[in-house]
Amino acid sequence: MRAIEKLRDKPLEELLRTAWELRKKNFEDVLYVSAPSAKRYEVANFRNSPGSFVNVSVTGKACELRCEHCRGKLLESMHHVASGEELVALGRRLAERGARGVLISGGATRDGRVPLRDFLPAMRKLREMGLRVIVHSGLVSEEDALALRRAGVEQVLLDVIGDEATIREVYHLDRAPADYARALENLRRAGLSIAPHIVAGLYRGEFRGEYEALRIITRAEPEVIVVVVLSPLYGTPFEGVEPPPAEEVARLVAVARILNPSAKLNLGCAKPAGSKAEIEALAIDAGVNTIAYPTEEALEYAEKRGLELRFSELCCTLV
Amino acid sequence: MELKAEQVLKVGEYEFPLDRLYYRGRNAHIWVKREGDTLLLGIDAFLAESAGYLNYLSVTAERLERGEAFANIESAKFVSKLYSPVAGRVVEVNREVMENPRLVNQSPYEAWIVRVKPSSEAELSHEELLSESEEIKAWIEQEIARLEEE
Repeated sequence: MRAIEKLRDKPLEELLRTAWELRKKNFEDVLYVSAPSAKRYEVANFRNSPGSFVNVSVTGKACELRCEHCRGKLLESMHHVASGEELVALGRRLAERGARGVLISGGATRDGRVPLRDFLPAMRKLREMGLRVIVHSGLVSEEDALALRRAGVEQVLLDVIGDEATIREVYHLDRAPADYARALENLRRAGLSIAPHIVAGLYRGEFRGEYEALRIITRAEPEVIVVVVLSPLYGTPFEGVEPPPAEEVARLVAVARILNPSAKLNLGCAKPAGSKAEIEALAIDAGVNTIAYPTEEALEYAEKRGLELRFSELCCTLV
Repeated sequence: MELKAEQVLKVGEYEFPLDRLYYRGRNAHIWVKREGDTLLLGIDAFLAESAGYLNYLSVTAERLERGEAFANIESAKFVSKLYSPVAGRVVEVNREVMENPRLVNQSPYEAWIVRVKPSSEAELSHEELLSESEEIKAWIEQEIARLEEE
């Protein structure tokens, strides 16, 4: 049995205790709260401002993969641009209004890439306007990774999947976990900061390749790791799917913290509604540094555990 | 009961039945409808539409104060609170809506959230509660412009 499985199979309480101790040892007693303007966020002591950090889709609502858990739904609420010129015009409007940056995303092509090439000169212009630019790249070649670097992209976000059946059946993609490892390597070799994501419960709510994804990610030594949780979306084939239990998510987060004691570890935007507060509290126990759009309950819990709250309107990977 | 066309105000793509009041304080977008000696509170069409599909709704207060939060909501575009237009006591929470908040998106004027016993009759006659078509129209037009700006 490999080290990661040995760790995974330990009692949850023990994992949480170890993870919390590592967090206390390696980081200040702060929980960062990320609330970019993709959602309006209002809690007792903080309200984000519109347009501070926006999500942009370069394919509109279109996506050739039509993944089972999304079906393009996540693209609907983004700003849509059809050309580099439109992206520059949007960037100018945002910069004038005081925006901090953009996450450039989009639907994927049949081979799992986000078609960013035509937008690279525009991204460079956005950087010159003072905006921070991060991208969802999908699977990326060495050449594309270098082009992203030359365009001034600050960070690349990538969902890493560690199970072939999940890649095939959920993402409709004829690829293997090794392709995700290669994409991370390509980005690293190009000198880009990476923010790999693990989607907990991506195989219809079940855990399949999450720990393999974590192994791939740990090997790439990222600055930040983001765990998100399958949130069944209305109008997709996963609509009625039961999300993974909060304890299993906590176990994954704790193992991620133990294997990556000094990387930033975040609980990202996607969390299922019914168990959101419970997942957040357990993720705090498991040593996360940042939570995106946390509930009031989670904020209270973090303070009870002695963490100071600091709010940011940036994407969680940049906090 | 189905309302006649003249009993429903249309502003842009949003409808506002005129058998109830609309709370514009704190941009709350809460409607209030009298039912016997209690009031039903719900979310208006503007908020239901602009928030996107609601996936979380929880009532957090039993005693309501005017302008204070009484519920948390989360949707595709919002993590926010709902603010009460009246002071009073919650006598019933709509469990069906708590379990399936998307009912609010589907039928905002039927999917009430709480039933409230108001502290007094005066709770229904403050200037932030709108009943006149012209006032509602002017406010919603401002809100549409604000949304476009965002």
